[in-house]
Amino acid sequence: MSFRVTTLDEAPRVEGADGADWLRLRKQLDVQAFGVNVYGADAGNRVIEEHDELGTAAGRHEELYLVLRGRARFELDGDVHDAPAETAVFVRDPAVRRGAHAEEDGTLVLVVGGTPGHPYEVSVWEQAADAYPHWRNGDYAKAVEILRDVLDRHPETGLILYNLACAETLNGEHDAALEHLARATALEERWRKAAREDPDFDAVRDDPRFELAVAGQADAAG
Amino acid sequence: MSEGYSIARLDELERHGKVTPVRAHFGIEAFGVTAWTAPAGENLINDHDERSSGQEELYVVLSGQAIFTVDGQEVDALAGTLVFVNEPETKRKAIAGEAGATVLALGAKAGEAHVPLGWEWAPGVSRHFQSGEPERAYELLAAADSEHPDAPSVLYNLACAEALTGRSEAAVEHLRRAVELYPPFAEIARDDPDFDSIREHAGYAGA
Repeated sequence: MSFRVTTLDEAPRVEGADGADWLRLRKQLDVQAFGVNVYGADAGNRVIEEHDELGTAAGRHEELYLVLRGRARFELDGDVHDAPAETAVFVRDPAVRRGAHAEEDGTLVLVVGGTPGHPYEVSVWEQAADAYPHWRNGDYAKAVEILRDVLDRHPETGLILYNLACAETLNGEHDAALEHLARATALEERWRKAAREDPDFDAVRDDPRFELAVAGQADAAG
Repeated sequence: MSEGYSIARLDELERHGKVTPVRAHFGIEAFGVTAWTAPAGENLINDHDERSSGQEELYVVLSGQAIFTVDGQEVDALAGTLVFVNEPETKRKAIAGEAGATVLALGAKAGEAHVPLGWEWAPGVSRHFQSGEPERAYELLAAADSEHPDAPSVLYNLACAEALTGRSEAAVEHLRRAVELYPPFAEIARDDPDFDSIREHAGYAGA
C-alpha cells in the first residue's frame, strides 16, 4: 500500500498518560521517519503529560506541538501559555519541562518529534506502551512478556525497568521485580520516590529487600 | 520566554504565496514541516513524487477541504483528515475544495538523519523578486545552491535571478540542470517572463 488515510474522528483512541486520549498515529500509519501522535482531552484535564526529553526512555527529541482543535494551556519550564487552535509550540531543548491541559472539550494536540542529526527510531516509551492495554486488563503475564522484550533491546532504560518491576510484582514474580526495581533506581533517582508511593509494589513493600531496591542496591534480589 | 522553546500561531507566521515555512521559522532540524494554503479550486500540493528526497510524507488537513489524488486515487479530505504517503515514488497532489484549505505537510526520510530540502530556500526569496531586488535574490539563491546542490527549485529560481541580473550563461546552465532534474520546469519556464532575456540563447532549455 503506497498511502494510508485516516481521520481524527476515526483513528482508534487508547488511554495515554494521565488519562488523555491517545491517537497512536505513528503506529497506525506505520510512520518510520518521525514520531507523530495526537492527544485529546476535555476541559480541565491533562492533554500532554508533564515531561522532558532527558530520561533514559526519551529520545532527546525536538518536539513540535500543534493544537488541532479546542484550546490548550501549555506549561513550559513553569511559564503558562494560552494556545488556541492552530497554535504551534516548538520545544527545541530536551531539558524543557513541558505539558498541557485542555481548556475546551474536545481539545486535540498533534505532537511531532525527532532527534536532530540522527535517524528516527521508535521511542522506547512507545514500544513499552504496547504492554499497557494488557496491564489494564489484568493480564500481567503478557505485560511482563512485552516489557522484557523491550528491555532486551534497551537494557539501560529506567522507565522500562521500573514498569517491568511493577508488572512482575503484580504477576507474583517478586525476586525479578526487586532486581529490576534496584536497576531502575540505580539508573534514575526519580524512581525512588515513585516506588515508595506506588501501590503496584504493595505486595513487596514489607519485604526487607524492598528498601535496598529503592536505594538502588544490586543485591536487593538476595 | 526561554530560548529552549518558541510559540506562534500558524496565521502569524510569514507566508510566501501558498507556503508557510514552519520548519524554517522555528529552526526545526529533525523533520520537515510546511503549511500550504490555497483558495477554492487552486493547486494546494503540486503534482510530485519524493523520489529525489526519499521522504515519507504525512499531510494533515488543518482547515477547509483538500481533494488529494494519490497513486491515481482521489481522496476527499475534510479538516481532520490525515493522508500518509510512505512510498517516495508515489505521485501525489491536492487541490483546495470549495472552502479553500490549509494542509500541514510533514516529511523526513526513514533511516537517515533529516536534512532540510533545498526547495525550502525558494519561498524566502520571492519577496526580493517581487520588490525588484533580483540581485539580493541571486545572492540568497547562490548561497542555497552551494549548500543544497542539485535542488531543482533552487536551480530554477537561481536561473531566474541570473537571467534578471544579466548572468545569461549561468542562467542557461542552471535552467538546463533544473529541467534535467525536474522536467516539468521546461513548461513552467516557457511562460515565465523572468527568462525573456535568455529565450533566444542557443542553450536555452525552456523551449
